[in-house]
Amino acid sequence: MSKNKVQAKKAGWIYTSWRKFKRSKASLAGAIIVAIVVLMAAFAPVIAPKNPRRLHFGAVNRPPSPEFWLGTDNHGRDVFSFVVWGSRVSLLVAAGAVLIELVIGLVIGVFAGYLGGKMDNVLMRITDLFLTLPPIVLLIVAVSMLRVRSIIVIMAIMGILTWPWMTRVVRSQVMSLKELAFVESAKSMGASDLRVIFKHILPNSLSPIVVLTTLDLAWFILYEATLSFLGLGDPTAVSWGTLINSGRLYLTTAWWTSTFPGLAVFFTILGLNLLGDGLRDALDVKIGRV
Amino acid sequence: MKTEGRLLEIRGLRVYFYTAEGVVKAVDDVDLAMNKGEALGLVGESGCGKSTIGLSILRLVPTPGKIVSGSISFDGEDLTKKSEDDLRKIRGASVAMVFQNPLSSFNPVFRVGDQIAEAIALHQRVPKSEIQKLVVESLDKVGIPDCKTVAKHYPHEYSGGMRQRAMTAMALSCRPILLIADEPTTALDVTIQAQILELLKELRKQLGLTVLLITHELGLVAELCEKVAIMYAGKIVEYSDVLSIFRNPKHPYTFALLRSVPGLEAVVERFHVIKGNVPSLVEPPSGCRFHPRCDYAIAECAAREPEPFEIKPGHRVACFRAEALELRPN
Repeated sequence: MSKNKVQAKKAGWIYTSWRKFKRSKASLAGAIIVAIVVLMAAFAPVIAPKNPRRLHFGAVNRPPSPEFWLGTDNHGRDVFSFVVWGSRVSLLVAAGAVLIELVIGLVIGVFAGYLGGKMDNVLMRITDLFLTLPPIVLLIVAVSMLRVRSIIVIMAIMGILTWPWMTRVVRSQVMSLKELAFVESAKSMGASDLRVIFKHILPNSLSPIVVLTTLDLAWFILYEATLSFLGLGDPTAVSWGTLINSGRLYLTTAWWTSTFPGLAVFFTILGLNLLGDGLRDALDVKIGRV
Repeated sequence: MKTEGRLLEIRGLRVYFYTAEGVVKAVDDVDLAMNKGEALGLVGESGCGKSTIGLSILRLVPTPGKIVSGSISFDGEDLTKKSEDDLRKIRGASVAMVFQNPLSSFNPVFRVGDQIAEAIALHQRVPKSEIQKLVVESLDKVGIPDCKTVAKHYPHEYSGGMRQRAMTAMALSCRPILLIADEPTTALDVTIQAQILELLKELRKQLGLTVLLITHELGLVAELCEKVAIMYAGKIVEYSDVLSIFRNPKHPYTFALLRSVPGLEAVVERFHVIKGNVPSLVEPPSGCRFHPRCDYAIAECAAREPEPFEIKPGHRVACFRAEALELRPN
């Protein structure tokens, strides 16, 4: 409790947001799920009993047992170890894509929102163009056209295709914040445009950016799993989508192969969405998504 | 052509806003001068362009506004011809501004002390420990108690009056020569207004500050300023020392303004109200802009625009009938 008090003194809004966040059971559940997935990814080598790539030829499509906790797939891979390691790829790809989306979105959004005028108009029409196309379709087209299918490439494509959403949010934030009195007063004290942007506008637009980032992480995990499921992912990566796909044909005889990675995708996305919604309510943000 | 003691000289200033509805002539051919150490009250109704003048001096007129013509000479240098880099060195350092809304004039995510420190660091190359000392000093100067602790607080932990004090502290932290105070007391309640007013008076005495007070409150002007400029629809209609304006106004608009303030002695049944509305600055009335609302207008007022002239030494007015009229407030 005393620790909370110290935090309240340190940063009032963080503390109040946390209190609001804590009040909702759903948000807490989301945070816990996300924490579990992150821990799973971080400690995958410790948690997973087997090498996920190792093919146990004598044990194909085995049901869950003390030896193979969640069974094995049609190639004799340990499903549990695969699911645990799969969280790494999912989170890595999603985090990388979000990072790229953030960088592009921030630069263009700040540029358009702060400068306004013709520049804003041109940039926003380009953004609109991207917004009219469903990202998953673009993603499939882009990935199929490429020869190299490493997770780095998939990550980059996802980040590049989704920047318009981030740009929109950043731009609207910048546009409303730049009119506020403290920006005017900072300028009147001799602050430069860059200083105004970095010290006064961006720190105040953090909340919606954080929320969108969380929700986009969920989207990227889903996209990556989708691509792997369709066989368009990185063929060498240990991805949930790959396992779901390989179990697809054996759903009636070996349900565990597709079910457990499917549940992993489901819970991770659920967790991130609950977390995102919780953050949105706690940080008092109003943004929309497709 | 630098006149002795002249600090600020605005000549033929025009600031237009290019909006979708048309060109808003917020400031239209304004001349204004201030001597060092003087306090000038710039008075007018909302939307008459008085705040725009303040922002023009710092060259911070928001888009789509533009300084169309005119010169703003500060300490002998024309600010309208300065580069953005040079202006940044002037803003805060030699000309500072206090804004109308103290509630939102501080960035909510940083401590007040840090924001003042930032302003100081922008203009003075001093070590960090020294800056902290300057921050506390400047907060102390504006009468904030327990400044060392209070400097570490966030803006939302300040009361309205304290925030306005802290704003003033920030504005004065780099020892500016000219302080532009744009409705510094409007958002505050009456007792706090009185405190801020006292503070401004005190600071003027202490620092020999030149103050441009932008307000719609004549009472404030009477308390703080020596000179008054009355503004109507983008133009200065009357300029003089405080006493002449209050005792002997020459422009019917000034007269009407004075009459709409309730006095303490006289029991008035209804306030005097200026008829009509503030005119559109997109298509201002012909001739004298006040003529549609003026009780003394004659045909000429609608036809031609009156030029400001010196009716008495130091008392300028823009009205055809200024000499003929006998305007006696109370």
